[in-house]
Amino acid sequence: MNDDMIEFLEVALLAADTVAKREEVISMVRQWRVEGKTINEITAILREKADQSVGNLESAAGEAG
Amino acid sequence: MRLNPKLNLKLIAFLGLCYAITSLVVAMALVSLPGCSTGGTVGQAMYGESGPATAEEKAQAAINEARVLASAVADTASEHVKKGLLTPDEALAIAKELRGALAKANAAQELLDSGQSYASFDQASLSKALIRALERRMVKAAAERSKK
Repeated sequence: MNDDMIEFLEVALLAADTVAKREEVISMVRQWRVEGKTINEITAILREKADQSVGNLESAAGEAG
Repeated sequence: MRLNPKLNLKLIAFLGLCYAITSLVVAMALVSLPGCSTGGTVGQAMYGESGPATAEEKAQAAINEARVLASAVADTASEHVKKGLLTPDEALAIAKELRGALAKANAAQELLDSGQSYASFDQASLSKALIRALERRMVKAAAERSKK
């Protein structure tokens, strides 16, 4: 394999991390709907989850710095 | 006509390698495309397989897609900074941009709650576009660092 191919695969693998995490949350949303949660309840949970994830990122950056 | 058995083995191995690489590349490309992944979209998860139908539902799905994407990018960035694929400064810059994009998603929610579903959808789409652009920059930075 040449360098371009290796670089492409590296980028694809790193991009797949985010795709996998997005799919995890989508599966959770499906499950919440099955459990009977309303759209408003799910919206509130996703808003909180996004804020929490960004907060965790800030903490991880602080710990690494 | 008889072929050299050693040459035959090399040819089979080469073709096998080509097949494996092509399959991996196609799979990666498909997984990286929105909507081509196995889990479907946030809208389908919320409103069923046919997805959101009304303007209000489309706006709400777009807002929540932005939030899901922001969460996925932030969680991935947290892992990257722990592995040393992102510097703390890069991670903080990503967090700041994600906060900005989430503020746009929250503004889109306010527009939707006040009955402006089309303006809400536009605002949520902008939020998603910002997060996707940020994701591409993050992946590029992490790939560069992984080579070092």
